[in-house]
Amino acid sequence: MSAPNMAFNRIQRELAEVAKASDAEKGIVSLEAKDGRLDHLTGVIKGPPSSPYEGGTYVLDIKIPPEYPFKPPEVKFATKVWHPNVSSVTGAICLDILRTNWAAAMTLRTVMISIQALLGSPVADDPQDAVVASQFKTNRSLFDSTAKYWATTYADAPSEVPEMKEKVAQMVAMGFNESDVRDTLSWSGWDVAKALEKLAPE
Amino acid sequence: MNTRQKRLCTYKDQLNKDVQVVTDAPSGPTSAELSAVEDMDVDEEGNEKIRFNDKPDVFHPKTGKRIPKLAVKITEWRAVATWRWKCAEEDDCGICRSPFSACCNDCKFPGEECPIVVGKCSHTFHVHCIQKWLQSQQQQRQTCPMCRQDWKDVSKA
Repeated sequence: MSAPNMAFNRIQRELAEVAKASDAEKGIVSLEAKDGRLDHLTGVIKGPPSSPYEGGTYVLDIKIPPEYPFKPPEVKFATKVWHPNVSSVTGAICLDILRTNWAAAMTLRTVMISIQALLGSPVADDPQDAVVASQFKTNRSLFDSTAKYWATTYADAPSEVPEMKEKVAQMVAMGFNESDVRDTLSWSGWDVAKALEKLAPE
Repeated sequence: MNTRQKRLCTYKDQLNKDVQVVTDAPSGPTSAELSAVEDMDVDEEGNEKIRFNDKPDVFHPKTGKRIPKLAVKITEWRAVATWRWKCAEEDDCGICRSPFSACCNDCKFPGEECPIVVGKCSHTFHVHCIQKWLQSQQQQRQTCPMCRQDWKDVSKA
């Protein structure tokens, strides 16, 4: 009983702190308990300026282990994001402070700030998503526009990426599922022939 | 037994302790009389003593007897003390986020039961909170959860 008690007390204080702090303009939008449950929270952050994620709104799924704050929270992206350190499939985040470098004095607010910073400066040598990481290293401009396209599509970022939108529409017209098309085209480096091969193997 | 009414008065002395004084005077001591009470000490047995101002003694002009400085006799008093930990750091424990003046989540009452400790790095935590953190770090280096320097308790020195 004592451990969850500490976790819950702390989460309650942290929720109040985030609500009180005026971080909204810095990109930490909100932190809320899901259905009033203090062990499952939702955080919202903004994509950092001068990055492909600029203007996007990203939802984080945060699970609090009973050992919190002696164990890190489990945080993943609920919004799809194209980033070397985030799985393009599951949203899992590769960030040291969420694993071995966690410290009990860190808070969900500092975690959200760190994730926002990670969006702004990817670490391709410690990838979570190998496909994205190798694209980041070998074809930076294609990476930037794919990340931007995902930000527009999934995170309500205002910018448009017309050529990618067109390719998706072209394949959707062939009868494929739109989100499958987006994923497959992204994973195939926007090569329509390659994507077709993957979606409809002979 | 003395049937005179006992009065309870409260005032703040120079040490900023709340002191309740019970006297046998029907109306309780006046503020002037209370201001004669200068200080209080705790002797080796733990009994509190009250010292009086070092004003010169006043003698009765006819009898030549010394006039007691207090027109009332203090029969009983209770000290109500406030306290706080000596720490320069922020007022909340970085681990449980409760104030230092409160206790950690496992304790019921703040105070000696739930003391605070200071690390070499000057970061301060409830002792129970930092113990739990160090235990959870078993295999790794034992570091301050605030600054990641090696944790060394210096509050005992």
